[in-house]
Amino acid sequence: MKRLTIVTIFSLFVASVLLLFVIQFAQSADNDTTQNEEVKTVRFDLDLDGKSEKLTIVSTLNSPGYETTKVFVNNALFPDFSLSGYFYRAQTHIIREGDWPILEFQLLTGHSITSLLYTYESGRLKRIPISTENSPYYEGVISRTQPKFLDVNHDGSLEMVVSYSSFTSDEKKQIELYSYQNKSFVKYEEYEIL
Amino acid sequence: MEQIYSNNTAKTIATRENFELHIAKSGVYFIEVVARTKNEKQLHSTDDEDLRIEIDKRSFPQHKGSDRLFDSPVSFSGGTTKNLKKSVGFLTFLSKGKHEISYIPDGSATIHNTTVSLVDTNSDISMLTLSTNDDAEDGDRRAWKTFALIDASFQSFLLVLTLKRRKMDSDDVKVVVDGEVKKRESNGFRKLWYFISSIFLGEQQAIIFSDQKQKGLHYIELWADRMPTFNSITFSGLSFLPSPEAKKTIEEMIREKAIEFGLDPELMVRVAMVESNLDPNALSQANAKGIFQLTQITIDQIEKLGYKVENPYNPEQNIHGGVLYFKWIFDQYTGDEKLEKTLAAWNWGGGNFPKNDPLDYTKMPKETRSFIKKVLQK
Repeated sequence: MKRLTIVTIFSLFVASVLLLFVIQFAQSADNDTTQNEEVKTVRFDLDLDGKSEKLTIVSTLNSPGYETTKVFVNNALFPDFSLSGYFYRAQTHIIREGDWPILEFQLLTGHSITSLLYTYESGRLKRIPISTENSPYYEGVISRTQPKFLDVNHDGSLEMVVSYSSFTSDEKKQIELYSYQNKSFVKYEEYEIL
Repeated sequence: MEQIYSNNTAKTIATRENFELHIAKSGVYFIEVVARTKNEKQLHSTDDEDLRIEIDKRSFPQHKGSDRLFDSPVSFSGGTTKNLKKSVGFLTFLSKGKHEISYIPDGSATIHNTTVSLVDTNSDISMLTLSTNDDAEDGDRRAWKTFALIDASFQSFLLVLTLKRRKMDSDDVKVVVDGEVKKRESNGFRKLWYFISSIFLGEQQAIIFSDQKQKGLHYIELWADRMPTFNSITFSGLSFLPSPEAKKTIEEMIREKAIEFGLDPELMVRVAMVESNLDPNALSQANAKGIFQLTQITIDQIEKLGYKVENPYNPEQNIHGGVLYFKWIFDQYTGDEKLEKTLAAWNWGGGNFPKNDPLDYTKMPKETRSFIKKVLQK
């Protein structure tokens, strides 16, 4: 009898926690700002099936420098990924005609912008490796400026153009060019401009 | 006004060009640049020509809308000017010595004229009239003239324009002050065009705009439809923050605030130098604003620390908020690398590296390493 009561109480507790969890995210409106948490929803057709995927982005201020962001895909109960930084913007790019778009996800991290890239595979977002010098520790671009996606070499696919060291006091900017090969961005050229 | 420099030779540029200006007397100067930029149709291209100007490496963002500097009212955007002449006049205090005017094209641009005139050796001018009798080239609604008042306050300005009634479409002028279009309800459906040609109003029209602007960066834009003539603009109660003194004041303000918060004053000046070159109007791609390049998230965090930055372009608020934010981060770390960790967290966010472990520079972004190196002058 005693064991049954404990099991019942434990089950009720687990059910309550789950219910609270579901209610919390079910109530997430398109743009809901609470004291420290901001919820945003963006929609992109990431698999070109005519239906948009819904990304629910929950950013929390926490303490300075310790902002966090969770991303839920299509009302999933658990986040697809959790990141350090505060959500800044998301956009898609079609690298080659006919390919599924890739998602560029940007966060404010300190005074920098962290840009991360994802493909959509089997209903989940998968990080695209970027051959930065320290990959795979962080597989993103961290810069004061945002990467640009341009067909630099006129081969019909977009390259990623990254500009580094763009402090106002800088005379020179470092430019890096990345091409998309085998589901990763690989650096193939870098140079400096005035 | 005493003209000290004039170049009327038209020149098309495709890359940044810098022009060194030698100023013999400190004072308020009027720098006017006249240029043309074509739109993509005229170029048979997919991109317009644009041009922007920097003075002493200071850029001029717009107050509202796009963060793109080429879209600022003091830039020349081919998409709106369509190869018609536009003039941009800067009123600014320049100290004795060398200064630099930079022409920065996007694609290419044709510069027709640059003139520099000494307006007054005083930084406070009770009344200033700029008169030119400048006819607009014939064309549809587009940006025509902009006056940029740098670190200046003024009480009001009087605009005198000549507008003619013409077949099919007459002359009109729109006035935009700091991004706000001046509306004249009596113009009915054309209320956004403050000056319209009218037999009742006469050809020459003069209107006083009592705007009472505080010290800051102000833009007065005139948009033209057809061929109005600019006769003059008269400012009253003009006052400029002298630029060298302004920089000194900002440095002094940073030092004072750093001492108040128990931080190294020279270190905080170097952080501000790297962040913004001490430019109170600096704006980054991440929408970071002012001297310490505060983003909205940083501003929200500063508010949680107990200080509200209402206007990040206000030097006093930006410095207070920036130094407070730095101090909070600084207090999170201990040990030999306290300062390096503070700078890494400032640049990249403290959540991205272990707080108590030694800093691993091999796992740090290139830009964060560069920031630490610059601030510590290593």
